[in-house]
Amino acid sequence: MIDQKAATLFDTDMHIHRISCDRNVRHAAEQEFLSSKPSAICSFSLLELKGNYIQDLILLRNKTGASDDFESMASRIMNSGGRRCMLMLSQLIRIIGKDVLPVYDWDKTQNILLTHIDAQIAISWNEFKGSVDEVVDLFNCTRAKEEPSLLKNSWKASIPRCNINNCQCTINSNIISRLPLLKQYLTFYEGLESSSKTNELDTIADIISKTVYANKFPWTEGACRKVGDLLIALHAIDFKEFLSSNYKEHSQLSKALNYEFRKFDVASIRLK
Amino acid sequence: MSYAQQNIANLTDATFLGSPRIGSKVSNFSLRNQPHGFAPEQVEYAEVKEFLNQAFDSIVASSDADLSLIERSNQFDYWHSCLERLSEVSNLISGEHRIILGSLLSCSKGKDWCSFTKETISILIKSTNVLRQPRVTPRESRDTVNSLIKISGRLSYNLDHSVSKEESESELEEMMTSLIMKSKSAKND
Repeated sequence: MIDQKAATLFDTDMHIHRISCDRNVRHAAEQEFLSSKPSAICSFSLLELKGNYIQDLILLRNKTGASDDFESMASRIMNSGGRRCMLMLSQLIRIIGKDVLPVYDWDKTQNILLTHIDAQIAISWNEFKGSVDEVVDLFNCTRAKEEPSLLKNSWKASIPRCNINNCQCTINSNIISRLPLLKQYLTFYEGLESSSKTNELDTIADIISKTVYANKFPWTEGACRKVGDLLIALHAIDFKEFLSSNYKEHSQLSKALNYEFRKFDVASIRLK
Repeated sequence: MSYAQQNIANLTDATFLGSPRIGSKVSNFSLRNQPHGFAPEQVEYAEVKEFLNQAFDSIVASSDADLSLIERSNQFDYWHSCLERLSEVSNLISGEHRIILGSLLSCSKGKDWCSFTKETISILIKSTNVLRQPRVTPRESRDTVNSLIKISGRLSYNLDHSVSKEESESELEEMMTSLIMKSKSAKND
């Protein structure tokens, strides 16, 4: 167990910056992981990784596996995953080596791509978990414990809707025990200038209001994923500092919930 | 006993059992049509097995103190070539094998023999040995990936484009266009 009062909690985006195509951003993020010790991530970050970055990789995997040639793979990835997934594929090919990839021989190309994508899915999960000294989990999140698994050439990394039968988490009791603190957020949010408000902050206020009214956190209605910033912020309270590039939300949440927020300034790092 | 011999002796329990099949997937590789109207390339399990054994032998040889530095470096490069060749027929191995293979390729990408120490080479030997087991469990594959992450620091590729520059994106788009053209023209030939 690390001493949280001396430790840095990393937001999910910090791991994504570590694998950025932008060299400056990547190096700065890597440096933070090396120098900000002891370090931790919140278990909810694993869920965010699985629900975003790993889903993108699985899309690449599925479309590559189901295509009959290079062109159809590219077009299927563009149509289903959009520009972001297309850029991921292009970057993957650049890393493997465009001259190494025998695009004239689809069977070989497909096998090479699938080998690297399968490995990257497994690596990204394990690497994120292992990049810090501890994974903290105030809510004993069941979904965060479910790692992506490969079953007969198909990745299972879906995040099912939580219900009483498939969850053993303690989110409801934990949130209810923090209602006085969360009411503070509502007061803070009401006094906030409209220019500082964001959709995410608005959703957080809305869900806290519903929780106060019903004395129950609506976890069975998918509330956790809607208020990910809040759940991570609640973990940050016990830490020396919280590091994230998500300034809009955490600059306000940190004032309302009283934790130390340090901004990872992507814009200025890119300009260096 | 040389370091390489010791490594082999240590790995006796886990060595390749000579099964006719690697993993659980049945091959349909040789049944697929190849481009250019050439006869289908016959890549049988025996050949995959041979790649795996050659890969293992060469990574073991790369740590053999009785060999010259040049020989050891060449053995390392040959090991990497075997893995690359294996990735071209990775439909013949199981998903767990593929995860280990991709992790080994990522771990050694752009590196030379001299980038590794005696200790880290021994991790590559162990991982290659797991790769040539006829069956690999998810636990074995996870442990292997984690040990490779440990010696590399980072195995993830830099694939995130959320803050990338426009010029690098247009370069990638050009590269994809040229690859698509290349693929199309190969089909038309």
